[in-house]
Order: sequence, then C-alpha cells, then structure tokens
Amino acid sequence: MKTFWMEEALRRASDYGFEALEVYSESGSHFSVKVFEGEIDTFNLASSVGVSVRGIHGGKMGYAFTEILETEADLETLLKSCRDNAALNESELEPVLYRPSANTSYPVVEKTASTFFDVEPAEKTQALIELEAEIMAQFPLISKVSYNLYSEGRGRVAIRNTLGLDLEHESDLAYSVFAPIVRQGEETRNEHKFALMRHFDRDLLRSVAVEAAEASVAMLGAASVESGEYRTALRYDAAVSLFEAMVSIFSAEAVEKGLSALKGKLGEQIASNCLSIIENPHLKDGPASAPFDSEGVPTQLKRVVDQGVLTTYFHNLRTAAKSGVPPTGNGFRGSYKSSVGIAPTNFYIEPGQVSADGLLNDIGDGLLITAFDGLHAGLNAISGDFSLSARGFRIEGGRIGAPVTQITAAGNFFELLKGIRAAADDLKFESVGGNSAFGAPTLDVGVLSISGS
Amino acid sequence: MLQQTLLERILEAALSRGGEFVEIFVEDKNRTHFEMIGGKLENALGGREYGLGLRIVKGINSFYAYTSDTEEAALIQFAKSLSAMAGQNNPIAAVKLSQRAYEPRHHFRALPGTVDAKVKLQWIRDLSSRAAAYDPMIRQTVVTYMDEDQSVQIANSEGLLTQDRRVRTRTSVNCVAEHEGEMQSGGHNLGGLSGFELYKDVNPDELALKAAQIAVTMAKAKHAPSGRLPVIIDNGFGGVIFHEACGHGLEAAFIAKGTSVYNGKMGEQIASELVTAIDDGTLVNGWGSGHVDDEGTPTQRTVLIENGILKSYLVDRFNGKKLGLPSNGAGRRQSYKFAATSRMSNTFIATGTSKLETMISETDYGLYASSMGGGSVNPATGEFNFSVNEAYMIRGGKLAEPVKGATLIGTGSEILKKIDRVGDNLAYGYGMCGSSSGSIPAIVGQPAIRVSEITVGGRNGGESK
Repeated sequence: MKTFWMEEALRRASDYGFEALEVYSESGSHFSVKVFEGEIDTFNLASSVGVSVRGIHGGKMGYAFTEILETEADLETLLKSCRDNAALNESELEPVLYRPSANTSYPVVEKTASTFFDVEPAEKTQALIELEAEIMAQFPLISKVSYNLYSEGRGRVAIRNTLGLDLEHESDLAYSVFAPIVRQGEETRNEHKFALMRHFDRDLLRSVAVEAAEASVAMLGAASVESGEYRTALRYDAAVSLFEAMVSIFSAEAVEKGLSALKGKLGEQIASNCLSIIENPHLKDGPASAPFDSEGVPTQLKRVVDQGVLTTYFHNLRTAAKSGVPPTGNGFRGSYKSSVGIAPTNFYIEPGQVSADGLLNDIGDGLLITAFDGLHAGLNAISGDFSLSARGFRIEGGRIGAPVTQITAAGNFFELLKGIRAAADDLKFESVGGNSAFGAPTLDVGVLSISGS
Repeated sequence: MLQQTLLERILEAALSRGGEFVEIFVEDKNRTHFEMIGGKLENALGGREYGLGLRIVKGINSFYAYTSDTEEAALIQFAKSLSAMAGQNNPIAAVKLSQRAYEPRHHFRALPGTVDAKVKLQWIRDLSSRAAAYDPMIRQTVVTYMDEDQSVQIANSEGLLTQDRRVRTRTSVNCVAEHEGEMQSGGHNLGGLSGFELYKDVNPDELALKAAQIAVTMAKAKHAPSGRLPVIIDNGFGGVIFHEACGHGLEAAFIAKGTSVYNGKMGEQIASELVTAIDDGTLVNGWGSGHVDDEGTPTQRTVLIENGILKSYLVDRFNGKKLGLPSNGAGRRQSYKFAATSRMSNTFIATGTSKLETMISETDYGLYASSMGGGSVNPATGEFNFSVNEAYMIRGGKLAEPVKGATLIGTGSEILKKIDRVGDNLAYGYGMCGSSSGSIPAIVGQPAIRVSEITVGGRNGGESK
C-alpha cells in the first residue's frame, strides 16, 4: 500500500467526474497470545492497512475499498468501482461529505500514555504461562483454562477529502481474557472475565483470572428454577449485553426506515425516571474515546436518555441533513470495508447511588442474572421482545444465593426500560469492539418471566 | 498470486530459525455487496481483500502473522521476524514445492465480474417488490445480495503447493410486518458456491414470500408458552440445532485441548439411534464447500455420527497432529487474517423415514418450529440456546395457533438422545458460522425431527394444555 496513491486519488477526483471525494485509511498493528497448558496456543502478529474511497458522482454516493494499492492500475480500479457504485445508488437521501468551517474544532481526548508495547512478546507469553500455573494451584477445581489471552493493538485512522478535511487519530488498546474450566464430578462450569489495561500489569492479569475462577466455582451446583414470574436484577455484564444488542434503536437511520420503535418518541418518557443513558466520546481513557467520527465530524457528549426522556437520536451526516438537525458525530464505519453507518462511542447507563448489595437487599427474593446467551438470535431488536438463555443466582433474603442455569428469561426491552426500579453504583464497561464500548451498572428491572424446570 | 520461487524463498526465511512446519496462505478476494431497503438500492459496496498469512508450528506451539504488503523484500523480512519470535536456532533445509492437482468438481458459469450489476439489481428488486406486495401488514423490506470471487494459494514446508477458487453468492430477504402496533421480522436466504447461475432456476416467490409470510404470521402471533414440551423442528435451517448442540463440540480444536463434552466419547452412543450426521465439504456447489480446505487438504465427506454412535471428529492439520489424526479437510478460515482451525462445512442430519404429518399427528401437545433463527453453544459445558423464528402450537395432534418469541435451550448430549423421529424431507439452510477463525459460510441441514422434550422459553408462562 503506497500513501502516494491515496493522495493521488484526491488529485484525480475531478478527472473521474466526482463532485467530491473522500479517502479514508486505517493502518495498524496487533499482537495477541493465548496460552494453554503451559504452551503457546495461538500467537498472532499482524500489520494491516486498508483504504476506502467515498465519492459523490451524479448526485449519488459511491464506495469502494482495497487492501492493495501498489500501481496506477490499482488506483484506477478503485476510483472506477467507486464511480460505478455511485451510479447504482438509488437512495433518496442527499449524499454529504463533511466540509469543515473556520469554526470547526475538535475536542482533546485525554489518555494515560500506554506502556504495554514496551514489553517484549516473549515476556508477555511467559507471564500468561506463569499465571495459568499459579491460578490452577490456587483453585484445585480448575481442570483446564480454556481461555487465557492477552491482546493489544494500535491503529491510525486518516481522513482527507476534497472539501478541506485533513484529520488523523491514533488509538491503542490492550486487554486480557481469562476463562477456567471448573469440574466437580460430572459437572462443568466455565465463566470468563475480561479487563482493559494501559500497562502490561501482572497484578491486573492475576485479579482478572482470580475473578473468573471464583465466578466459575460459584456456578457449581447450578440448577434450573421453577418457571414463573421473578423479581429480577441484571448484573452489569448481563445488563451491558442486553443494552448493546438493542443499540440500533437509537440510530436515526433505523428510525427513518421504520426499524426502531423509538420513532416519534423524541422528548417522550421512554424509560423509568431513574434511567439516564450517556454517550461520552471524551471520557478519559475511555475504550472508545475519539475526537471525530469516521466522516470527520467532531464528537459530542450527550445525555441520550435523561431521567427516562429520550433527547436525541444518533446521526451521521446523511440522516442529520435529512432531519434538518446538526450531525451528532456518530457517523462511524465498522472498517474501511463497510459503508458509513451509525454507532455510539462510549455509551453507558449512568450509575445510581445505591450499592449492588443494597440493590439486591431491596429486592429481597428473586433472581440475579449474570449472563445472557444467544442475543444475536433470541432478541427481536424491532419489537424488543426477547426470550434468552440465562444464568445467574437466586436472590434469597436480599443476598446472593444458589447458582442458577438452564433457564430462559423472557420479556420486552421497552417494557423493561419503563420498569427499571434502580441502577446501582457499579458501572463497568464490559463490551469493547470497533468504535464502540458499552457500559452499565447492575439494574433492578422489576419482574421478568422465567422459564425453567 | 505469488510465484513458486518467491513462495519457496518465504518458506526458507520462515524456517531460518527452525520449526517443524510452515504454511503460507495467500488470498485475493473481490467482493460485492448490495443492500436494497424498501425497494431502493441504499448501499452498493465493492472492494478487494488481498494479503498473506504465515504460520510457523514448533512442537505444539503455533505462531501466526499476516500482512498486506506484497513487496518481495518486505515479505522475506516479515517471515524472518516471525521466525525470530518463534525462537530457537536450528535452520532447516530449503523446501522444493510441487503442485498438487485435483479433479475440479465445482464449476462456475456466470462469474460475478462478468454479470452486469443491473442484472443483479433486477434480481433483488424483483424479490423486494414480491415481498412488499405479500400483505398490507408488510412495513419494510430489506434485501441483501453478496457475491465474492476468492482465489487462494497454499504452500507448506512439506512441499505442498495448491490453489483453489471459490466463487460464492448469497441473497437474503428480510421483512418487517406490523399488526396492531406489534412489529415482527421474518427472513429467508439462499446461497451457494456458485456464480449468478445459482438463481437461474429458483422460484423467487419461495425466497421472498417465505420471509414475508413469517413476518406477517409472527406479527399476529401470541407469545409462546414456557416449559418442557415435545418440539418438532422442521427441515432446512432447523439443522442449526445439530450445528450448535453437537457440531462445534466435535471440532478438533476443542477435542485436542480436552475441553469438549465429546472428549473420550469416540465409538460411544451419543445420540438416538435414529441420528446419522454428516459433514460434507464436497457437496457440489454447496455454500460451505471447496475443492480443498484452507490448509490445502482436499475436502471430504465425513460421517460424524452413525446411528447415534460417534464416528469422527472435524479435524484440521494442526489439531490433528496433537490428536494423532489425519486432517479430514476441515481446516477453514474467514481470510488471511486468521489461522485455519477445525470448522464445519456443510453439516446435516441424514434423511430418515418419518413423515412430517405423522410426527405432528402423533404429538398430543407441543411446539412445531417451522423456521429457526440462530443460536450459540459453550462447547465446554455443552449448553446451547437457539431462537425459533416461526412456530405453531400442536394441540391434539393438529397444528394450532402461531406463537412468537420461543427460545430452545438445553445441553447437546441431552437433546441428541431425545430425538425420537427423523423425517424424510432433508433440506439445507445457508448460514454464516462465527468462531475463532472468523466468520465462514456453512450449510446447516436436516429433515424434520422431533425432540421428545426440551425447555422452551416464551413469555406466556406455563399454560395449561
């Protein structure tokens, strides 16, 4: 990949008849290592680069991408393909590329300088091997560790267009995942934990592993419960997974296309007044913090749901223009291979005042759900109906009781939002990927229908 | 694709510090993706993926790296640095590659690059308008079309050099229907290892109206009950049940680590005697097929389970070596960005003898799942879940009202033993399977089956019969 050709694409835009053209590139390097039974299971090193062009031709937007840009012929193929795709486009929305004004300014995102790249891959591998042995010695019920992974990466996004945009942003991220297999008799349990880090921190790796081991051991003896209606709390991780699976409802694109039940709900109470949902792209060390979106629009802090009231949708340039509102800095693309969609950055449910223990105490008797499975299929993001395989614990006398598995929890997400009784103070970011990170505290969600034995 | 001499030089560089095995995977893939929403083409996207993945195996350790850099000097340097990471210092002699040929069995006629985009658009526009016209309750239609033309080149330190070309296309129709404020979606798709000729003899109504009919039926349906019920799962995508409940657990990656519930079960009865299950990467023009897998091993038809007895695992080279088993052509990956591992290709329960109508009439009270959604499994515990897209209650041996929002959960070992009828109507469904080596095309399939009892999760509580 030659950067020379990326610059050349902009110079040749008018030769190909483009009214405006944008060149978006991503480059990065990545390292991950996974250890199993004292040996390297996987060891991955990568350097990658990809470029995408997006251009307005005949009043329509076209896209094309490539991972190979070595010759003039490669550039020609790319620009022609972009032009051909524009000719096919039938969208009625006015295509827009971002034209920065003299007043456009970009926020500064604060970040603790990372040091994890300073440690050699061999040392990181050795640390995981030692960690596995140490945790297995500490927890004799662990038969194997199915997942003992460390992963780090850094990337650079550059966006330039023929309207004067010229931006670059670098980011880096490291995390570990640990999942032991705990066996007792015929019973097998396998829970995982994950943590983000700015330094290669062995103490943090150890605490993640211990947490995962304790969580797996705690599930031993898990059984189903009798079917019925249960007072239910969602632990932060289960709350995050459900919330994340529903994120498309906040997208102006989904609203426009009739694929979001939040259509026409701006300014309305869509959730209980103890629920606020925030998008903060400027969070210090936020896993998805960014000064601008994939279209070059400055990102903005917003209370998307403020005490239960929906205040805004997420917009990209195109949907904002159509709705006659300013863009919200949410025009993100999954990668150079995809078109610009809509996504949040750091998106989280605001924590409340009560501790998680206090929240369980208020529930008295019920269920604490710690994990949902099959969210990609068991949840209808349009209707909000869900019926999901779940596991967790009984809440007995306000405390965590016996472990529970092989149940399904069914309900409707929109009804659940209205029925939320409390948010605890234990906010955690549990899901990080692409441009987005999702966080939630433990939530008291009222009553859910549980199917078990 | 790279010259043989360059491949040999890369192998030599990768072996410069030792190692038992080195493999190069070169990929060049052109992709097209169209998305038509409400009858208008909203997204047209195309592009080219190109890169090289390199694997070095030392003992039971595997080192993988990839790059899109195509310059010879950079590739040699890239191979040398991975070799250095892999440690040690006992270089291995040069490798002489020899071409391995095979008899082509998947032929492509209308290649993606030769079919006018307008013809492809006409195909999805037709589906879109048929679906929209099905019923006034249809509020939205989304039709997506993809095709890709992937060339791969695989070379390894055992002297293997081979190529494969995989041309694939898939079309999905999704509809949203609204009834009294209740919105439900339905979807159906078709895919193949094929050029555009895949659609030549297809009745578009079978694709478009199926999606529309599911959405409309489910918009009017009441919530499914919960509890333990007999469930009849109809053919086609219903095979996702075997894929999740058992298939993943038979992958050599889990077996080699001893982390599958099927460890040590070879030759044992793990399913009802009625169940024979097959993974067939040779299925002609099948969505999950190829001439060779992504490690260059010819694909095979593998009987996984015969009359309920576990006969074979899904084996890739690397994990096969750990297990002392030869690869059966199951080494697959999404792209050069992933090391290959054991995966399913086209996996299905073989045809049986029962008639669907008889199965229903022999069921006093239960659920008939006519169309399945996706699912997932934890291979360590065997616990799976999957969602039902379209379902009906069975009362007194007859199909009754439609019900929505049913999820089935259980453990693989339990459900496989509880299959008490296998139908005679084998059909396939076309899915994408996600796992450690990425997202790959895979067929799931089965004839209609009945499970004598499984946990159904629905919102309607435990209703009385």
